[in-house]
Amino acid sequence: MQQLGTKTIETHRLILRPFRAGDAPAMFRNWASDPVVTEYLTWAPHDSEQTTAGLVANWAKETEENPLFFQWAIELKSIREPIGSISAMHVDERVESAELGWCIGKDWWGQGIMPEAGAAVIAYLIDEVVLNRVAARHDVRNPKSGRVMQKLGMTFEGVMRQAGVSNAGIGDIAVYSILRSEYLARGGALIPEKSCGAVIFAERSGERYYLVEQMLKGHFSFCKGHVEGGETELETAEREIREETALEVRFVDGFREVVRYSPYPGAVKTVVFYLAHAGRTETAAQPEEVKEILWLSEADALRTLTYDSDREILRKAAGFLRLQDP
Amino acid sequence: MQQLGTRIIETQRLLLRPFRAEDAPAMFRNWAADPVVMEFVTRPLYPTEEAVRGLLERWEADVPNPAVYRWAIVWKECGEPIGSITAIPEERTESAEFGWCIGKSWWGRGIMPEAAAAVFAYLFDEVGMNRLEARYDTRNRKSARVMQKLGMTLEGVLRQAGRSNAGISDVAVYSLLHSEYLARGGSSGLLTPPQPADGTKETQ
Repeated sequence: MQQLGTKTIETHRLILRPFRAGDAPAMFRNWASDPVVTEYLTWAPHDSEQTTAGLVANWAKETEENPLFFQWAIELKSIREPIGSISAMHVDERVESAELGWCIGKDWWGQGIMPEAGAAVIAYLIDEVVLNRVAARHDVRNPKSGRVMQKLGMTFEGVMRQAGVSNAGIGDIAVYSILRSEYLARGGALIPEKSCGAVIFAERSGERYYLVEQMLKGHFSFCKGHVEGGETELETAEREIREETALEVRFVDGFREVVRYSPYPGAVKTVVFYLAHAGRTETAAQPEEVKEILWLSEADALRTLTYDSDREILRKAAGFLRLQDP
Repeated sequence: MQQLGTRIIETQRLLLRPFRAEDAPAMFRNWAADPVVMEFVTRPLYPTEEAVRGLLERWEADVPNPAVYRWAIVWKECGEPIGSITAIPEERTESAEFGWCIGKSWWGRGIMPEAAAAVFAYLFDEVGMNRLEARYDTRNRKSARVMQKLGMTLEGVLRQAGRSNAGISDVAVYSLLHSEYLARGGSSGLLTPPQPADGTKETQ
């Protein structure tokens, strides 16, 4: 294994980086002083910012000096503050293994942040530090933590009865792990994300126009979104079209294209595109996500779309429609 | 719980007592240099009696430490150590993890269960522990049988989580809780299978 220590890792929404002296106020405020966050942790909630500052100083020093010390601040890009921490402990060079531990402020629970951070850290530990086994354990009274482990593709290995002590007292401890072989079998991608959408077109005076959205974030792309609950691909595409554009559409049979890319280490995003015909072109853009909706000719759309993968989908869709023209 | 260290314990056939440097010849002859005994042990083989003596001098110096639980298993019949049994305590969880080995001339005679049952009783009844744990390389079936004889419960297998002299291995984790020990009738019941009150066999 490679003794690389706590290197900075960037993901879609997060920067995982070493702790530094200035982090104490945010760490104290965002999670370290909160008894709800520390309920199943082994350390008591901090009673003063000085306690946090002492710990942060210690971690910053360890990061400098110890290449087997892995302790990241989870900084949320949108607020530029640490909101939690993730670490690899019990690094065992003989077995090339380590155990993950994490916590995050409760304002950020339920947003998939821990899986995003965990996937990036596992990818780093297996690909770069070259560990063979990454384990994690949780008090069975804290099933949220177990769900993160499941999302990360870790395998449940057993429950060690009355084997842990946290602020909640003695507890049964569930153990999970992921092996290098399992990680590689998943193509290095721990978190599958699936979205569905459509290339939407309308016809006016014998010309075809394609719907392109300018998103609030600035880029131009097609209408699409995450699969929710037990939706089928077409149900997701239909719902996203309704929410983002308020259009009524009819799907064209025979067209289904899949794009895959990695938005951050440890994740792979799959987007499935269908082809949909809109009878009317009056739209209402969803203000939370879409800045503007444009109807563009194929040539204009090709110039406007931000990503090559979207341009490729448009070429396929336009070609498919031309083949069907009389 | 209260750390009491390595007290002398006597059983029917065994004397469990702290190691001393003079045990070096017997330990070297009886197990520490035998690759068959040491195959699934995490500690390397001790190639010379001198190396064993160096280890035993450190162990002897540890004896006054009340958090050290390491016994020489003396076979009364021959009066010399034939193996060792060690418990590493963790005070926070009032638990301990066991390690043991015994010379192969003494395998198959129920000696390890006899020694472990006596040490379990001491740690539960006198030291006040709550959880006793033992792990073994899943390739080492004999060790599993000892844990089963002691009524320990298999909790899981930690995959590729250990390394012994046989290389990287899956590690099975067994434990016995204080409540289970009491339910079996304490020290006297540890090596006899539990009798269900209603006469039916318990299934899992």
